[in-house]
Amino acid sequence: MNIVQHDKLQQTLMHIFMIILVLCCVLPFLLMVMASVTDEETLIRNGYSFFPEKFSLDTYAYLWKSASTIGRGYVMTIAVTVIGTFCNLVITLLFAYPLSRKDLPFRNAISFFLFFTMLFNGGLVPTYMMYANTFHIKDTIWALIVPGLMMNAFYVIMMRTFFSTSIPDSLIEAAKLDGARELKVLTKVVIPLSKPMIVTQVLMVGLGYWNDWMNGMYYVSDQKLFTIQMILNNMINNIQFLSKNAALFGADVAAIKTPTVGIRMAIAVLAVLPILIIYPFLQKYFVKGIVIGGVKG
Amino acid sequence: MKKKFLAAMMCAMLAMGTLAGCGQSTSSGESASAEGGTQEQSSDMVTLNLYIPTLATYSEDAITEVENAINEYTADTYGWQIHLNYNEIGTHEQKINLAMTTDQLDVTCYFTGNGQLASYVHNGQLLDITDYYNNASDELKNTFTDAEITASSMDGRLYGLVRKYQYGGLEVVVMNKEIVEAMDIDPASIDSMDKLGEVLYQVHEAYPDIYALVPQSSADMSWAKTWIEGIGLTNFAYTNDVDSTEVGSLFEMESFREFCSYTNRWYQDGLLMSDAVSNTQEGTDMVTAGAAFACLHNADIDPLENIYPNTVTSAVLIESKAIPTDIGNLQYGISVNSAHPDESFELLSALYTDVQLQTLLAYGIEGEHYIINEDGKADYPEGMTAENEPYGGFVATAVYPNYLLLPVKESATVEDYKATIDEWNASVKVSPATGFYFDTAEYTDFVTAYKNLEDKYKNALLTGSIALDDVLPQIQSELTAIGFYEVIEEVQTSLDEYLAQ
Amino acid sequence: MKTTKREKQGQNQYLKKEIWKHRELYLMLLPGAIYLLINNYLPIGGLVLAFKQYNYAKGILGSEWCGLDNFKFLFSTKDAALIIRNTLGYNMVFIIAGTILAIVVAIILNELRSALSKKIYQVLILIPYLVSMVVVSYIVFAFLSADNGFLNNSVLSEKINWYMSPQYWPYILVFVSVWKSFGYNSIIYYATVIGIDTSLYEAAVVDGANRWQRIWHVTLPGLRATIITLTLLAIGRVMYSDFGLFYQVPMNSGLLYDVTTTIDVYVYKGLMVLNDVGRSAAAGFFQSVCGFILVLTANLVVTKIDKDNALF
Repeated sequence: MNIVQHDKLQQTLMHIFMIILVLCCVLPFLLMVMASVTDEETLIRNGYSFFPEKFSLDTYAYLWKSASTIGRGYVMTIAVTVIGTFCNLVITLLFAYPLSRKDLPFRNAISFFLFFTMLFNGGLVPTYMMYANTFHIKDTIWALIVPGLMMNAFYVIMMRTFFSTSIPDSLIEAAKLDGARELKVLTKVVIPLSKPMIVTQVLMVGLGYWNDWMNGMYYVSDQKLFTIQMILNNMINNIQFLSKNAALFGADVAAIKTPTVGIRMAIAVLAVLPILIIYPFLQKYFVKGIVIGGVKG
Repeated sequence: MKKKFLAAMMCAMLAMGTLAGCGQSTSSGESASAEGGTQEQSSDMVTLNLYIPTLATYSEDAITEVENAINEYTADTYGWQIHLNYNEIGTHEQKINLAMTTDQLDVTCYFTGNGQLASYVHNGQLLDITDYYNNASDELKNTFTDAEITASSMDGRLYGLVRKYQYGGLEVVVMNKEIVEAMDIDPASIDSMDKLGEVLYQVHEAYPDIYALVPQSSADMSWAKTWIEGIGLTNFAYTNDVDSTEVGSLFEMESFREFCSYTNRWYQDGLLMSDAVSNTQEGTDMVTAGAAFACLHNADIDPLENIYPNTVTSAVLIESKAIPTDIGNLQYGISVNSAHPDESFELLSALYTDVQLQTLLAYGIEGEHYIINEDGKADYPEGMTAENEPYGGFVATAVYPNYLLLPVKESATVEDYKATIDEWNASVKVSPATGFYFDTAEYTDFVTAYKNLEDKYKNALLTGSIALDDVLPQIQSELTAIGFYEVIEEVQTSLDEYLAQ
Repeated sequence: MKTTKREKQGQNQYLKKEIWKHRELYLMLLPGAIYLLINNYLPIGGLVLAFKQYNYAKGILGSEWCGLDNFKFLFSTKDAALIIRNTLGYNMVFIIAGTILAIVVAIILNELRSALSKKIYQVLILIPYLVSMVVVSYIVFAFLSADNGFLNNSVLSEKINWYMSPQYWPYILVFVSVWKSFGYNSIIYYATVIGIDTSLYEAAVVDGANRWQRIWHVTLPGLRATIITLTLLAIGRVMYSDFGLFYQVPMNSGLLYDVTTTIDVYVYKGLMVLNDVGRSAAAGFFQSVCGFILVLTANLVVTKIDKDNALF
């Protein structure tokens, strides 16, 4: 086999491997989508299937009626994600850059100060008491943004590692010799070279905010502030509670329409879709082979 | 330029963050919602935070309207106002546990169906209202039966007031109507497990593709059982039936053995779900959809056929009785950290005696959320149904403290709530151990270990997936290992003492 | 330029000068430091709850001390060894299997030539991460249900009652965990891989290296710092577990208890019965201390081998 054919074979094998992985990921999602368009009785009788006997758009019709709630959920989720990710990114960049500079006094102590927070946590009750009593963030949008998510030692460390390994000291020295202040070095030199890592973190922090529903559960009862994930999780928690405790409520339980499996699937699909749509646009920042020019001399 | 912009943005973010927090009033418990509803509250009057779980959906606007209407009334009548906090029912318990650590909760609804009252009292979460109650109006005291007062008391001190409701239930079989008619089965003749078994086998022969019998809900085969659980508000002491006063292990009870032998035999013969332990569906959903023939279900005042379409109900399978935690499985109480205990008790009392307050709270605003028709019954306004009712309280009223005061709904199957419920409660058999409380503070490790043990076997046995004879020796050795038999002896001693009084 | 006097006062002077010299960097640290103080360090006083009998009326400060009582419920139970074994064992396998798969995927994505397929694969492998664990449990049920499940109906000739057979579940749980996180984890590795200086690859090609040699000598070393950092961080979390994975995916089937109960599940079930704040604080404290000790140890080991890549 000559080199070209050998190379083609390798490419094919890699593609096959990826396709198998991708199928593992996509098929369950397809199952969710199918379940959301299956007629409810068929779903109960036959279980989940890729080829349901009877289709029905009832779930989406039901969701359309609650369009204002779902729409508001989306708006909240997007707002929280955008604001939170921006704040997080700014704080992270500002914290990681000094830590990556080997000439900073007490650098190790500060790193420890940062890392310690990943290991020890005061616990839910003291955190709740502080946020609810001292800072009064209950039922405000900040309850969804600040607790736990606005800075994450993990991402700071990742960013610091990236700065240390991928940004040569000589570049920084050069910029400072040119008379730049630290903030300028950060914004003009370091950040442009860190695009893949920054985009990665935007994605990860963004996902963290997008998927979070715990802050909402602890601090938010105001329906106007519900995010999509909170709506979904409330639904599921309610169903689980009622199935164990319906004896508390007798006939009234039947009077309420508890969302069917199809509806839960539909909302789960709705919670996933926007990310799938946005992600490809972020990908163009994963630019391969950043040329680090002008280093020598 | 860019640097300055970044710096400015940062400062703005931080400033907004801190400002949003500080500078809010504290003890009156007002919370600001992000888009500020028009809450008309004067800030010098005491505002009490009332926490209620939601069953149906409530629109934010409807809640605000009702709250304003209530406050107009209470400001004049009592001199305080309330703030309604409706929580999703699935997370209500977690939310109130957190809120009770602060002073932002005054009066709340809490669940006690799993013996939680003991832990609420131990943790010191609920305010002791014995003295308030003793000085309260006769009207309030006449609202409750002795059993109900015992249900919200511990060691002679009162901690809450129960929601007035029917307690206990009897178990019946709910069957798919089409099959019943097709096979000409007489539902009234099914009044024992044997007769049920006969019918199940017949149906299984004729319809081998569907389940003959499915669990009542998820992995729970049946809610009402012959044996009594929750003796002493513990999770490990059982008696064999409603009259017995001998406590012991569930797995050694005769009634348990009997029930499981039936389900095990049916399981072996393929009548039941193989996966019952992992089931997540409601039995009635499956019966209505035709995926199953029958399921057990508890029945109370309202006939089940009205609730579940396409079904037929059998005769009584397991007789009506109430286990200790059935009475007052939902209660209302005052948080120990409330800044206004006196006013909170006034509110609590009013919830049970003040018809106008209760009606506003539970049904909403007359004319908008409900109307009273010529018969004097409450019904949806013109064009409104359960689906688009903005104030969910009118759709599902079971969470409210004293719905017996309210005008009867058009859709109700009885003419007089109070009379029917009082009659029902009087006729329900109640275990003599009701009111007995066994303090498990010393045994908390045992309690956790027992729960894990029970979770391993109970549902599997009840759904027939495993046979009791196969695992009983192992269960007994595990029980011995965790010290069960010593503890149960102590329970028995305490119970005997209690009964002797 | 700076002077370097080595006398003691000289050293202090030197330090002060260095700090002043880097004052801008310290200012940049300020926002993050404030956040950490508020979000993480202020509530840390609450750790004392692990040693107290929390009483709502008395609050955190007023509640009584109870020594190590709260820890007893974790340890005096005969299940203590079981839950620790489960937690540690599963996490070890997750770290190893998860890291290997994520690296393999990152490298493959880098080596593929078609830009379009890179994009498509990347988006699709992220899907499992986005689906909430409860929904995952429904899907797993759809596959494993004894009566209606996909496996029993369409693939296997003999039906297995999955939810009652503990022996399969270690594999099932590892599969689900890796499935859910590999797409997400591979992003970090991929971002690092494409940050590797292409001139290094060009040099390797000039030296006659084939694809495998290039991966071995250029790509993997380039990933080394990231792998070490991520693994160290994962070791710090080794006593924690994904509650959704261990509680909801097995559908809380009692018979699977022995292979699916981790510390977090055990604590949750205990709290369902008891609502004891002190106990959950004690469990959290135990998990933190273990993680702390393990990370310090691992970090020490890394410092000996490869100083620059240690966490601190």
